[in-house]
Amino acid sequence: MASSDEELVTLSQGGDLDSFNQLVLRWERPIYALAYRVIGREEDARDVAQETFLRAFRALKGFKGQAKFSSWLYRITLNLCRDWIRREKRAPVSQAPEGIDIIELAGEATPSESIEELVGRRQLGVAVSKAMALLPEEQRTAIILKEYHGLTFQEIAELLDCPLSTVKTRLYQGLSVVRKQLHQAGVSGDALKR
Amino acid sequence: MCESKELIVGYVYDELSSDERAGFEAHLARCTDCRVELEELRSTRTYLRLWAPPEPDLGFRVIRGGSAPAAALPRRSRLVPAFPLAAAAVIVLAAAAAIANVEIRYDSDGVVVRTGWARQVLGDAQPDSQRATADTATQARPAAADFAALDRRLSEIESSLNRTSSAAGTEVASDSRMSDAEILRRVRQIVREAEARQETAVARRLLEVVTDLDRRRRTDLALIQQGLGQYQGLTNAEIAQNRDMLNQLVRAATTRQEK
Repeated sequence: MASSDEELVTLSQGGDLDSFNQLVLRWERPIYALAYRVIGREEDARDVAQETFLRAFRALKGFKGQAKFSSWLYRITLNLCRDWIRREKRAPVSQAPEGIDIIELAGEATPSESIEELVGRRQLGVAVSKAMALLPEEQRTAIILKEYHGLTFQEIAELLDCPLSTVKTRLYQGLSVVRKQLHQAGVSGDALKR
Repeated sequence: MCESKELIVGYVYDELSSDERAGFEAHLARCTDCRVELEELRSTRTYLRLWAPPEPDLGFRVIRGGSAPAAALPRRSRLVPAFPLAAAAVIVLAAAAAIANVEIRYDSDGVVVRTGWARQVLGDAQPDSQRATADTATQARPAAADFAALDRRLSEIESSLNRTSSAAGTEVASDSRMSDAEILRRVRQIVREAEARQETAVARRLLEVVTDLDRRRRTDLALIQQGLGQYQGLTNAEIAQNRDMLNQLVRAATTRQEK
């Protein structure tokens, strides 16, 4: 039976490196995905994810368990992303694929999905990433934490150090902007029904 | 939209209390605007799910190194072009060769190329060209002394012969009736002295040939060492250039970090 995060954290704090590496293995993809969606660059997101675990490892003794381990990791990641944005002095970029590899796409297609549908889905994903890149950092982060990481309003508020109502407002405003951007990009409401 | 943003967002994300939910649903039943708004927010959420991040091979792992817990996660595997790697390898090899004291010796055994850490201290203290010049000078001194000694010896023989000849002439003039044995003795002496003079001349000529050969050998050695020095100088210039580039990169990175 797999150990919980809390158990692995306790073992790691006792010097068990394997336990910490289990935590790394468990959380590296969500952390990378968070960093990628916030800053929009694959290689930099990888660096941020790596640095996140590095810092977590160094600060592990000081982790008292007031928050969930995952929330603690998210906080470290977001701080690093904020540093990156400040350092780069630019908005996150949307890395659109230069071309669409039909062979690769065919491997991703579900049995009921044609290549054309898959290409359309991929293009919609690119449009979404571009729309998200246009959002202010606070709105984008709130949407990412809610949509892709399933955090509650309360967890987001604690993570971002802001009131609950602010989280809801950021989410609403962010979703509205994305919707408008998609409309402007020609994505109609029935795009997914084709 | 007539209801608050917080309420509709809470409903979209299913984070309303049961009372709030019931109240909002009652409102939705009679408000078209809120129903449209809700539908658009939901469709936007559906689009958001299409944004998938890449799935690279991460494989992060913390390893312990030395006494302190190592924060040595494997760095990302960058795609490094092969040419810079090859150039770096050449530079490292050249630097290693320079450090390893490549020595080219040209002597009676032929050309000998040798590398090694052990080299004479005096030799290390001097540049190759200076060392070659010093060697030549050291060996030129005995050669000059030999020449001087030979010259002295020749002069002695010549003066001796002159004395002998003049003495013989005087004796012949004074005693024209010299015995045959005496004449033969004197002829033999003259022949011996001529042979000695000839041997000395041959030895001098041989010494000149040997000296000339030695000079040529040292000239060749100096040229080889000069070429090697130029090669090492070129390599050092490349190393300095690469070091400058690295320093610039570090400075740029530091500046960016400070910003």
